[in-house]
Amino acid sequence: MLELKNISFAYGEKQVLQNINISIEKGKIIGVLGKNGVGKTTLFEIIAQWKKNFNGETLLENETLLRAQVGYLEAKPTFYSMITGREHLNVFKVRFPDFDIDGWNSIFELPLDEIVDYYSTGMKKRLALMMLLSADAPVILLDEPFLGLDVEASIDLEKIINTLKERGKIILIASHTLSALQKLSDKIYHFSGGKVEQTFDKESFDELDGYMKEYFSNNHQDIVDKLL
Amino acid sequence: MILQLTLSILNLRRKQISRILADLGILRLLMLFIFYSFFQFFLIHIKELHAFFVDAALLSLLSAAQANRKDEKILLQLMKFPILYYLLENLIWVLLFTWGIAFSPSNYLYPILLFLPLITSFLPTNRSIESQGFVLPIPFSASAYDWRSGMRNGGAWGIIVAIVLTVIGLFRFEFLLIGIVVSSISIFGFYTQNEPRQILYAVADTSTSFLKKKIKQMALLFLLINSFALLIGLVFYFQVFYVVAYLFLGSFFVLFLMILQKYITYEPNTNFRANTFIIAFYYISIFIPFLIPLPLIVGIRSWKRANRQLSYYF
Repeated sequence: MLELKNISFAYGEKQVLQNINISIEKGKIIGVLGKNGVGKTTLFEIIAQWKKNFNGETLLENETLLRAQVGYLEAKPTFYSMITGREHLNVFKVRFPDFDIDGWNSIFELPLDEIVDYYSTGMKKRLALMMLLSADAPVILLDEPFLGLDVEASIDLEKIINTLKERGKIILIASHTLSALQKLSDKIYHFSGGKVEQTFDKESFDELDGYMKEYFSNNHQDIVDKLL
Repeated sequence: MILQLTLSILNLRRKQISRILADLGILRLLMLFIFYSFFQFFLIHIKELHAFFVDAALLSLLSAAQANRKDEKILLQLMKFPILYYLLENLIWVLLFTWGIAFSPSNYLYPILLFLPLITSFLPTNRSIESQGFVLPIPFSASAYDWRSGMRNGGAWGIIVAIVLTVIGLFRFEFLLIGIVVSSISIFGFYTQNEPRQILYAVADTSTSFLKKKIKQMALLFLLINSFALLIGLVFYFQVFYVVAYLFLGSFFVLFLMILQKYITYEPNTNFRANTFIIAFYYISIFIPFLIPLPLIVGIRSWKRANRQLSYYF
């Protein structure tokens, strides 16, 4: 089980996250929802151990979570130019010899011998996801995985995420795509003002659309007025 | 091969050809050709044997033009008829050096200058290596991604020019030295991209071990490229071999400084812009006795600073 206990983080004077407490079991997918700047990416960077000076604890099976135990797919993954997908993955294979590139590629279906610069956005996302699976990390963080993907690529990615779930990974997805989150997640957390504003279980997903509409009209009436 | 070439040409439409010519930067190469021709004509006219120095410089200039074409996307299209592409590319080389062979007072060296660039054309560029029928030998770890990227970004040309100059070094000592300098300048170009964080973590656990790996890989590459020059220096110029060895070590040290400069300013997913003035200054410093301590002191300080910068991400 992944446990986030009392996570708080501030950029200087600005408090971004306040006392976040979340527990996630193996083989579960958690959706994280919230407007831009609410702290979703910061939370992911804390879980990925990319940020050091945060308050609180990140535990996996009651032990401090290590960077190697987390695979983090950034919203806009970047690559080293002019090397192929396979050459990218080989960098990881040197470190993690058990990483079965061709085995995983039977799921990801990437043209691994092509230069990555020529990949489509969807292919780049899939390659980035494959790279982070090299360490067989138990925790997977996906920041805006559907950003810039067409319908077909999104469906492919959904299938891959479900495969990872079946393999017992703990998956956190931050996304603005409500429908995809509803389809994939076991639980959805709505973040607002650096805190968990509302939590939705699978059973209460039907209320999510209404809640978001109400939340938007309550908190962003000025924008609605401008639009109208 | 000729049949394949003919078929490739027949398959092309006129518009496609003109677009390809434009995208290849043919005008830029043409300008260089005219520039080169003028010099060649002038040097032949005055029967100046040192034409070779100018030839070497212009050869480097042409290679730089090739390296900076930025036509990766075009290459993707061109791979449908690669022979035509290579013909266009090599036509310029062939014309230049045929002229050289015909009129130069020292024409016996021109076949070498002609032959080696032709070979380079068959080196992998931006497309998968398999499609060229060539596989790059992997002399060291698969995690040494810089040189693969650098070679495909045009660095192969710089390396080949360095090797060509080394071969000419069999006849003239100065070329051996120029070859070492050109190879180090080419390797500079391999370290322009700051790697994403995931790659950083995949390569090493700590900033120190990451830097050590980078330096080790660079040293291997530099030694590999210049081993021929060192061998020629040892066998043919034994009495002045210390000059070759000093230049080799000095160039290695400047490369070492350059890599440290890159990681002093490291930020994931960005490009490193080397301060060429400072690098040139370090290069000059290693040849001026009273300035030698300067790059050494800078080296120690840079190592600490690069380590500190990287440790922020580790």
